[in-house]
Amino acid sequence: MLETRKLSKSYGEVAALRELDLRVNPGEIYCLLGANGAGKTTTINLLLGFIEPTSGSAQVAGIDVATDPNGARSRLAYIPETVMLYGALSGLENLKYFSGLSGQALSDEELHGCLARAGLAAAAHDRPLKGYSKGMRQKVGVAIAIAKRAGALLLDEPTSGLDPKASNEFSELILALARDGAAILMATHDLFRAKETGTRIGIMREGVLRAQYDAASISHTALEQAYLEHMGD
Amino acid sequence: MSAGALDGVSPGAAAGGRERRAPATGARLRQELHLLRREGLAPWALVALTLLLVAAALNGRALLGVQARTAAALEDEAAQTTRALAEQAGRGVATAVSPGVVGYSVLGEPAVLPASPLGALAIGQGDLLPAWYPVTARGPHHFLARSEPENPLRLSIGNFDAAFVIVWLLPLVVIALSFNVVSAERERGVLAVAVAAGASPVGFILGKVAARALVVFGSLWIALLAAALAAGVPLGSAAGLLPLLLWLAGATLYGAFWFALALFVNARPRASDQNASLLAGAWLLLVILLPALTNLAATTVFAAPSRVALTTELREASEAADRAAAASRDKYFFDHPEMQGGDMDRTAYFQSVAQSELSISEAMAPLLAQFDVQARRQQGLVEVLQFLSPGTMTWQSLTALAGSDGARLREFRAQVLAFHARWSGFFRDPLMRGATLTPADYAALPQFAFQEPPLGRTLARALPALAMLLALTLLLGGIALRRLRRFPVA
Amino acid sequence: MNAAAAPAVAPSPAAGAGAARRVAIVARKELRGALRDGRVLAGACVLLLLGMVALASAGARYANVSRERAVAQALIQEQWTQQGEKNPHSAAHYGIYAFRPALPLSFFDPGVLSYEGVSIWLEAHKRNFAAGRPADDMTALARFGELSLGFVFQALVPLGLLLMAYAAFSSERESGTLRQLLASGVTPAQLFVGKFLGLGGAALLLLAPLLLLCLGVLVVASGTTWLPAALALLVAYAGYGALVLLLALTVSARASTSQAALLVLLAFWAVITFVVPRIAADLGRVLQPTPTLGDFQRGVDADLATGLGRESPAAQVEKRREQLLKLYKVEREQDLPINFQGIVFGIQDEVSNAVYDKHFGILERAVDAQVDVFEAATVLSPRMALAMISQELAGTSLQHQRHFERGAEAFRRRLMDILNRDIAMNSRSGQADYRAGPDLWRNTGEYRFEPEPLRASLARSAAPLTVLVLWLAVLVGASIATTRRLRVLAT
Repeated sequence: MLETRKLSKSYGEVAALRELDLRVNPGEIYCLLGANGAGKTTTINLLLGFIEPTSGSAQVAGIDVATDPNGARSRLAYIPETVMLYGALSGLENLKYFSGLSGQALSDEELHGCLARAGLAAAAHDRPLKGYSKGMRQKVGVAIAIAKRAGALLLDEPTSGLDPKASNEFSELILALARDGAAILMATHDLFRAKETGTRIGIMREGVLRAQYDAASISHTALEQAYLEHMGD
Repeated sequence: MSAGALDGVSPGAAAGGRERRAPATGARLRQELHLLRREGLAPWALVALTLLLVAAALNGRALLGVQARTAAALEDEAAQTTRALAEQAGRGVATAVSPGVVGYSVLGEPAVLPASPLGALAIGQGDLLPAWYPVTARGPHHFLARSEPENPLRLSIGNFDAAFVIVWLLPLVVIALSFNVVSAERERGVLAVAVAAGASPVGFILGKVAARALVVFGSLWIALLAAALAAGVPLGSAAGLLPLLLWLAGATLYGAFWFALALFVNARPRASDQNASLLAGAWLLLVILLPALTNLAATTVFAAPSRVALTTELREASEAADRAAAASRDKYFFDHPEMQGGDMDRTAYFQSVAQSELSISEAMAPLLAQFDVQARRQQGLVEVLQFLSPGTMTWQSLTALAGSDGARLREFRAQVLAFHARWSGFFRDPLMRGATLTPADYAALPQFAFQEPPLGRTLARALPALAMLLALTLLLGGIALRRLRRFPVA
Repeated sequence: MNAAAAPAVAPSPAAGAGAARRVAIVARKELRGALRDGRVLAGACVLLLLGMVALASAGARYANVSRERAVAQALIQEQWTQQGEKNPHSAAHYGIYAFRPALPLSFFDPGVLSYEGVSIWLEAHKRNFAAGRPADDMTALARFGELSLGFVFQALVPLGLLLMAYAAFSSERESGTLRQLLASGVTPAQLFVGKFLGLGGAALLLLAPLLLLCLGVLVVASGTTWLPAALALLVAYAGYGALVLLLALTVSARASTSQAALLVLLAFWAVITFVVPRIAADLGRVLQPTPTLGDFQRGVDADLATGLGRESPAAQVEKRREQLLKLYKVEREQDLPINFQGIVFGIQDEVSNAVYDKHFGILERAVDAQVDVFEAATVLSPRMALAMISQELAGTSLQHQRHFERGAEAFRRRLMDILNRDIAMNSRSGQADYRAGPDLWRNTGEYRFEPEPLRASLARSAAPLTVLVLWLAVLVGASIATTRRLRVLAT
């Protein structure tokens, strides 16, 4: 569903990503771990077609991102680290706008349903977004992704800044979406959640994917040790 | 996150603060100048301003040069004709000794307005209203209405002169360099860092403003001097130097006003582009809209008399005069003197002409005077309303100093009319007596020489506006500084 | 979780219909957003206010001027027909005045007519210049520019469009919503078109009251005759507005920050609206100076004396005299059945008409050369091109003044011809006391001004219109290139 083949990106002398080979199948949750600047966000931006690769390719549902970015994006949903939407519009209006743009024609009830499924309190649906907390905005971002019912989902540090309860709810939601058949790539710092929710885990450092593990076959402690080892070199 | 009010008290300032601050000012200034140069906008803007000022001055000089050459050619021609006529009069040629023929048909004196010392820097109405009048013994309505053939499209757009560059473009340069003098530092976080490191926010900001002001005024003075040289301003004489110094003062105060306004706008925490939009709006209002509205007010409240009515009045007066003249002779020959025979008829003919012209002039004089009265009133209203806008004030002062505003041109007209009275009297008296002209008469012909208004009066006209500009600058600057003391640095 | 209720992955929507729908969604949001924005509404109010001030003052002036000139023309005509018994040649020297009436659309764009004379004295033997320039009676501040509706729409509305649109892409990029938009599946091109339609639509809606007011005033003042010209004006101004909006959106999409976009656009606006026209106009004067009045006068005097290189007037008169004496088989002029003096006047008029044609032609060509320089410079400033089109369509351009002057001159020549013929046919040579009466004065007809048809103005607007179209084409190309490689991320 999501695939990269020797995907590389350099900015002049600096290599942000080196020959990444990655594959996320439908129903899988692939957690990408790494420090800031490791290349996680660059990978996501390349898959979204927001930047062009220096070499290699990225594919979404078989569509090459570089040649048909619009086609690729129509198969993707994306939740950035800080969800930025239109402050003057309400949560519902934002959702309606973005879902309309993705080609959906959902009724207001269906939209309310998506917001509820994402965990946003009903009272907040019609309030202007500029009054939302970070967590609430994140939930609208999630609702947009849910409404799109895309085959692939890209998440960039989704639980940073969320309290434990919200993080839990988010994990439940991700697992449900994966059960529905979505291929999910999640860049995160959170080792614990990665092990809990992920199917596979990758560790990146300085643009290189150092190691990949099956979440089921590694323990929390081993994972933590492996992570620190790769980070420590 | 607001860091609240910081009044510049930092740990190290207490001890040896004064000694530490003085060298810091010089170093800070150099630092700011370096930053300005690196950011790239300032050098380009100032070079562009200088080039435009010099080009504008050259343009003004070219325009006035054409006028001066035309006037010189006319004076030469008139002198030649006079000499030829005087020589003919010596030989007794009939057409040269008849005051009627000479005064009412042949000879005219060009009354020329010499270019004022700073005239090329501000054209004002100089390309629209005549700089010379062909005075003849006939009534003034014959020569007052003449105008040079000009491209009306160019007239409707206005002149590219140094006053335009100062009043319209200097503010844009100042705005471009200082619209974000505080907001950029705040947005980048530099302000917070500088204040936390011990600088006083007001001092920090003033340092930036001072550097910009230094650069702008420095290039402005150089550019204006270059422009003055390009415009041919006589720097050696008081009549050239003193108005130029006031020009420099005016342009500087105008620039200072815009710096104060930019600082005033920056004194409230806003995004940089909001500042830019506000200042652009202020430019539009003060430089474009208010002057146009002032002109609208002046021409509506003190509307000039109708030129159309003038035309119909002139017709009536001419008709009345013609009828009076025709009462004594056949109208048919009145229009074709070549059909006349003999000197006696010629004299009688021209006596009727003189009489007609006199009666028409007397009939038209009140209406023509009314034009002048209304023009004076319009000018008066403009001189009051100018204080609403620094753009208007500066432009009025700059053109007044250059002698291109209505006042000098109206003074010229008044002197021409007085001269006309002497000139036509010079020919009418012998004509009415039936006398002839002698070479001695030719030698005694009245000459027109424009009496410039006293330099002091011209300089004084610019002073109220300069004072007001200074007052506005200090007011806005003062308020801005007070607000900056309580400025949230983050 | 109702996971089984709907398929897990939605099929991707169809391409074509989807594109139009997406554009419509974006356009609607932009339109609503603009109409709800306090600053946009405030700006629109200010523009409306300024427009109404301009409309009121121009409208009042138009009403005054129309009435005054109509009254004056009637009065002049009455003076002519009531001038009593007079020799026709005396009447020819008395002459008549032609006043230029104000055309209805002049309230929208005063053009250059404040700097052109409003009346011409039509007298014997001489072609006069138009006199009574309104600008001579205004203060020097008038050279700052008049606050007219044309100015509001040429200079102020574009500024408003720039301020509305400079942050359209750049602020979305800076805040991160651009990322979200593209991830939704809308393409940069759809986004661009949507924003263009939305912002453009908002601008049209906000300006509609002022536009309708202007149209209303026009219809009230002059019925439907000038509606086609008004609609052509609307199209031209709308085209310029579209050009400005395209530019603002393209710069916004390309610029690194909102601030940079704003500065570039403001600088561009100030330069093309105020600086380039002045420099171009004065450049025309420097490159192609107009002859002075003195040159003109000397040229005319010289040619009148010599008869333009052909025979001198005296020789022509002599030849004609011989012809007529032979024709009527008489020996002396006094025996001719006609008044030879009438013929002489006719010959003199032929000569002077040819001389004036030549010298006025020289002046006109000199001014035309300056205007050509200006027109060439419109490539640098589409605002100048719009100004030229606007003047042509409103009937206030230089060429419209020339049309007035030519019509008045044609009337003068017919008038003099009638008077000369009357002398020749109805009196005898040497008859000094011949008088004609009111019948002749009425037969000369009345001077009436006929405005040019719209197609003449449209033909003259072709060149500046081409410039506008070129600018639009270039900007469309630039916007396509920009959206193809739209930068999504802020850093």
